[in-house]
Amino acid sequence: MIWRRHGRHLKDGLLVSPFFALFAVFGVWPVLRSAWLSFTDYHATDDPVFIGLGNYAELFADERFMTALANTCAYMAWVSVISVLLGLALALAFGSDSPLHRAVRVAFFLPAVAGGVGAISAWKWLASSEAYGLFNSLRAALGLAPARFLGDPQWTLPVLVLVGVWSVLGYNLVIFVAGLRAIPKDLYQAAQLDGASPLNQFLHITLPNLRPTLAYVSLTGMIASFQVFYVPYLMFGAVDTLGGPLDSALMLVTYLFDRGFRHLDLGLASAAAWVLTLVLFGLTWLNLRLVGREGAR
Amino acid sequence: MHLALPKLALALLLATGLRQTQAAHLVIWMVGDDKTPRVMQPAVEAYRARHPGVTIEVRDVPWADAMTKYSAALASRRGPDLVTASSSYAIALGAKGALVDLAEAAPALAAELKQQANPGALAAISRADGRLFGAPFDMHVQLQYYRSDLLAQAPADWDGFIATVRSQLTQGRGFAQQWGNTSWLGFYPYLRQAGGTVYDAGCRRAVIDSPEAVRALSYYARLYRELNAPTDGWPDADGGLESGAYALMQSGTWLLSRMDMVHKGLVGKWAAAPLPAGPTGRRTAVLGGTVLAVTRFSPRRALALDFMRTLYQPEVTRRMAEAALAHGGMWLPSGRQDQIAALPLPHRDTLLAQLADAEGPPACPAWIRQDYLLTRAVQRVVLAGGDPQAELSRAAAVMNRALGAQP
Repeated sequence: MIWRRHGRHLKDGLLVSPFFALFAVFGVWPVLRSAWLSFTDYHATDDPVFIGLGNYAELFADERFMTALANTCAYMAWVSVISVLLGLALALAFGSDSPLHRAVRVAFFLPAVAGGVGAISAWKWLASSEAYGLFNSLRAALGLAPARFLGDPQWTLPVLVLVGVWSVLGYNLVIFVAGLRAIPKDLYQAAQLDGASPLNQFLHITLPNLRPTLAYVSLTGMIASFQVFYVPYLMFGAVDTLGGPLDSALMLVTYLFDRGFRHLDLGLASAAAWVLTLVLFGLTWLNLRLVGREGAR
Repeated sequence: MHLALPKLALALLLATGLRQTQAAHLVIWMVGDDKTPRVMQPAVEAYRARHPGVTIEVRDVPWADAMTKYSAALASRRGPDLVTASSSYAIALGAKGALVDLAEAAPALAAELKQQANPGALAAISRADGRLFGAPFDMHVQLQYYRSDLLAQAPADWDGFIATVRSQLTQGRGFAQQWGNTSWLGFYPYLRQAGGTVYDAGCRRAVIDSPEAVRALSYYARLYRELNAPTDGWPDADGGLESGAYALMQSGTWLLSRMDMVHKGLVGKWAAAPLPAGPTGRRTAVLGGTVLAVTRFSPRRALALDFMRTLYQPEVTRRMAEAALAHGGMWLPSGRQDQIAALPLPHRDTLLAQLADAEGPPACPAWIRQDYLLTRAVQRVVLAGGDPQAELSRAAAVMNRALGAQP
């Protein structure tokens, strides 16, 4: 009787159980474990010892952590804003099916698939302070003195933002093109009949209809920017330093890596990871409130 | 009941067999690239010749992954029996109880290392309380490299260095520091050449604000302010030497064996020299490299220590260094410095002169947590025009506050 009533559910449950088992072991358990470790003094070599909020207090008293938090917020803000605005502008300019527009979209999307260590090495080469660095060659052609793009704290954030925008712009462009194509054409036709200008069409048709896409792109962009690690690590890290000139390239995940794996302060690194998670939760909530709900309406 | 005895016997046999298998297999993790384990091969062969039943697995761990892999292994309390790591990281691992104290577990080997190891490399891993969490394994040291077709000889002291680079600058050629540029590591040789230190002898107090340290940082800042040295984390100094952008540079000994291979245009046009002498007359350079250590959780601790004893035998060490040379590399055994003089090394006299006056980073447990404070002081002076005395005093104050908080 029970089998007849619940047999199908049991069978379905059995079929999906391998996924849930793996998800529980490799997804849920590490998250719960890191939450517990964030309240402990743990260095991998001995058992964790509960210390309450000690790690969180230490984190917020650490000048370096605050530097990393500020750097990450600044990086996230610049990359998110520029990549969303530029991605939208490019989608409006190159959103058709013409061969030229397709080629442009492919060119912008390439960094999303061809990034990694090789691309960062190329950026290092471009931004090098040596005479052959492309940026400095361009400056020289303009009669400007060479700049220390990789050795001056004033240039660190602009260089990182440039690489960050370059790496996500193509992705944003493609998502925005899809979002623009989903807007019904008859809305524009009706507006044109009513004599609406292109600017009014953009403000009153495109933007409101694009809000769910905007929410998605900005949210995923913010999350990815907040988790930035390998770009500053590869561009500014060295055998003896992690944060670049005057820690201007020190990001939250770089700090977490340094404390967790170099110093074996795994309890404190777990606390840093949870601060990162809470900040991301806050940003997600804010984003959904500002953009998502309006879009849904 | 009649089946119980055979079952028990089988269980015992399996258990014994497992123990034997476990005891006869050593796992070694070496930081470096896929060629790194080749250096260990002569030691493996020598040990296996005496102990045919033992199998030894040597794996390379890329530097970028080393800390995450080591941490994961420590947390799981499984993993390698022996590891190589930088001396600062080994000190940190030892302080957390992750490594075996050789002074206690293998006193004869520790005593032998005191006689045979490079003093700077041994000091970098020797704690003030006498504990020794690893044996010096290999080393690199800073050197001056210069264009021998442009300079008759390398500058011999601080004043000579400034004068030489100034003269070269008038011809459009400058100077670059590569290894440790604008960080504590680049500043450290100048600090030691001026007679300064980071901590007092007992690691109880930071003395980085001493007059000697201020003098060293004032001089170091001149390399950037007056000589316009690049401030990138790792400038392409060897490429610049080839292109003629730099007439002089400072980097590590790994370039001795690689320079002609990588920079064909430099063949016959470059030479190496020890660093310029500071006010004390010393030419101290920073000694980098790795140490070999036994992990605390190794179930084969005795076997691992026995392997180490074999590795540090003179003929085995020599064969390891020869194997590296045969593969186009250079492996300088910091645990048996006596073997280096006999090796057919490139620029051997220069190398030996610099190795005789080289030091690793401070062997204080707090150092790995505080090195960024010295880097920040150096960078505030070099990059932001800060005052050496003020910045070093600020760094020393923070370091001493933390040291005072330690039990």
